[in-house]
Amino acid sequence: MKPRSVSTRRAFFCSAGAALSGPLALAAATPRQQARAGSLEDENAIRAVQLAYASRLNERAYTEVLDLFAEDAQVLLSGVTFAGTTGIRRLYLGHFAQRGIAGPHPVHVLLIPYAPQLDIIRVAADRQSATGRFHYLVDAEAPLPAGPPLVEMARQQGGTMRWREHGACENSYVRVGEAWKITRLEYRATPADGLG
Amino acid sequence: VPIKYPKEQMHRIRYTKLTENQIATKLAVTASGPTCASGCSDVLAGKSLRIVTDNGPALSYTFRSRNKLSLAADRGHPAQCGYGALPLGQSVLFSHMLPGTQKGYTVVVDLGTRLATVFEVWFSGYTDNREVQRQIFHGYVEATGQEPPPKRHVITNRLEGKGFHWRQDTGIETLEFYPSVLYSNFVELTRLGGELSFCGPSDYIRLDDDLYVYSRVECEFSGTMTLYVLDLKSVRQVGVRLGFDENDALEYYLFTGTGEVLGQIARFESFDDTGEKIVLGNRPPMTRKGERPVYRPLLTSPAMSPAEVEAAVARSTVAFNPRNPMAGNRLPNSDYLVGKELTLRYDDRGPVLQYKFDELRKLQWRREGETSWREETYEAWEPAPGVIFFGHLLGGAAHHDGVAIAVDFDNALTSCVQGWLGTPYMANEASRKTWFGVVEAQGLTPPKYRRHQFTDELVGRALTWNYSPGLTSMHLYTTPHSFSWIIFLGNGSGGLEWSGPAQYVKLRDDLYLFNWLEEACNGTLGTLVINMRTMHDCGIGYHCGKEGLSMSSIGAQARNAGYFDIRKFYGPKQA
Repeated sequence: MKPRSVSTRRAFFCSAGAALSGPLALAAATPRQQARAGSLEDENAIRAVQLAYASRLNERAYTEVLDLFAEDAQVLLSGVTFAGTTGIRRLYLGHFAQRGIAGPHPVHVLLIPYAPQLDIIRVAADRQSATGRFHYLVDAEAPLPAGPPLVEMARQQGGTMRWREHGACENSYVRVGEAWKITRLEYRATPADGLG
Repeated sequence: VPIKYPKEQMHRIRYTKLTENQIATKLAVTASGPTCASGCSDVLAGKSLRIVTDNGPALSYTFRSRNKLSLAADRGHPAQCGYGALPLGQSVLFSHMLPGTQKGYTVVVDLGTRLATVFEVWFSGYTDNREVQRQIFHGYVEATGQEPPPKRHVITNRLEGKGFHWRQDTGIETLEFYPSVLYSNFVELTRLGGELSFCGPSDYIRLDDDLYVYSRVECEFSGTMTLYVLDLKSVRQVGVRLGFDENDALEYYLFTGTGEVLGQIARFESFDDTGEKIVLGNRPPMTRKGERPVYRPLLTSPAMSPAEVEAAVARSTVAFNPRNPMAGNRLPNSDYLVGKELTLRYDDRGPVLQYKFDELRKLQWRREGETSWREETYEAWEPAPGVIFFGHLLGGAAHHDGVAIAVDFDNALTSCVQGWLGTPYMANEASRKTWFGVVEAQGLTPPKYRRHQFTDELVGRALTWNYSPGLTSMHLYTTPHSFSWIIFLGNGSGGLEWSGPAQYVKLRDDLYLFNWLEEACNGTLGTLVINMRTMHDCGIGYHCGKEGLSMSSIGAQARNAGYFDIRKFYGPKQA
């Protein structure tokens, strides 16, 4: 089913009045208004999931990060796919938590929300799935690649490369019971002037 | 007496891999304690001290005379040992080995505060048995009826950045620099003639604001330990040296010394960082007794045979791969040379190279007298107005030569650092020759007598170099023929350090052509043009490893990190 675009952040604020007064007005609402209110509720829930993802990652609470994913979820990072519970545990508890010193991926990232007006959440009409794009300014830290002696010496004393980049999470979500879970998370670095 | 230059410098000596039994035999004489040219002190004679350490042994000492003690460790059976002691201020350093073992202790006690630092030292604790291992314990001297003191001696960064000239009572003179919290640098003026500097993993401990303990082990060389207490105010030292020299003779002696402060280079921690913790980053924790970060270059880059070198070069020869963390802050490529034709004529039967620069990264070259041109990839930068630095491999050369060339078009002068693979020691180690000469090109009349020349103007200076985010080193230009590089830890402290032979050429005021060789290391030849006005460099690395031969660009931004006043110690002297 093709997701139906129901919201941007601006649309969310435009609709906020209706949402806030929802409990009072819901009884008298038309089916279309009821669907709209439900979608807003879903968007808020998805946004909360994404906020939780960023804050748990930033705080290195990697076990808690796992709770945000559905069982068959996958994460795409630096062109590598981490699939299913095993793969995602390997990424967050194996690589990030152990500050993996052999892999090509960052060992720590700090996600700073950036240009939230450009974030997009699309909830499917049946409200069982959704997609979202969230923009970040990312402070990343990764192992130094193999290199000349100076680099090797830095590696031996635990040196890392640190950089800042713009990036976006392109995610898919699924409703599991009353909660929303991430089914697919793909992080892509973007040029600063290439947001969108 | 003429200066006794060694047949080989430390990094070239093939130190004997002594067996455990050989070491045990050589240590037998330590039962009588260390010698001391000035005579040992009787300051502890007749005293008893019980030293309690945190997470370490409790050592009950009875000093029966100025050179005999008994030690009961952890209330065990007392051992009878020869020892030596020397006081400095209110501290006393004493040292002994445990007869019949390869272990001993060097202890520093502050008789005023009752605080103590214990170095447990031992041989045969690493692959190379001769390398002295150490574990440091802090503690106090137990006093009947008194509570243990709440404080301890602590590791410190207070000595970081300092440099000294030391003259021991043995007549040995050294220059010693502490640009790191993990390592230090030493120039053996007497033992080795003061040509090169060397580095060793080091400890820095603060006793109080004036008194400090310093130690180093000459890892990857003789494995000898030098440990001393130094007084910053009086610039005096008392210490001990333990190990085996290049002839495998035991060195176990106490020494006193007087010094001169040579200066203070910059430190880069935050102002509140007192260095009581060494901030190692993303590396496995150290769990083995005595474990410390040690740079062992030949473990990282094992020597290659001539056949391995030829195979590696055939497998991969790369000029200027753009993906290079050493070039994250490089200067933009210059198109100054594009379209130019010139001849670089070097003195003393040096090369005469003719060039046609076709494109930004493509040139043709030939030696004078040859008829055909060879095409190479090159890169060029303009580190100062009218000065171009460029380099390329010399295709077809028997030893896979490469050149790094500085050309001053305003003065028609040029210097060339020619590198090639192979030394008498390692096939993948670069050799180099620096040539001085002139530029012949349309519109240029080269000088007859003036040339670039070697200089010692940078000697004693320290500059930091930031190559890429997270990758910063400091160069310490230690002697006219060597330098050291120090890698910063995450908190800005100096970390691992190593050194190599180097040459310094003055191109113009504040503009230098600098090259170094990573000998007994990975064999790299690095050549830089350092502009002290823009505080930027541009450079070329020439390296052969198992992955192949490469010529690569280098580029970093500099900060001035200070200066040691040391040039007066170098140069030929009257015997």
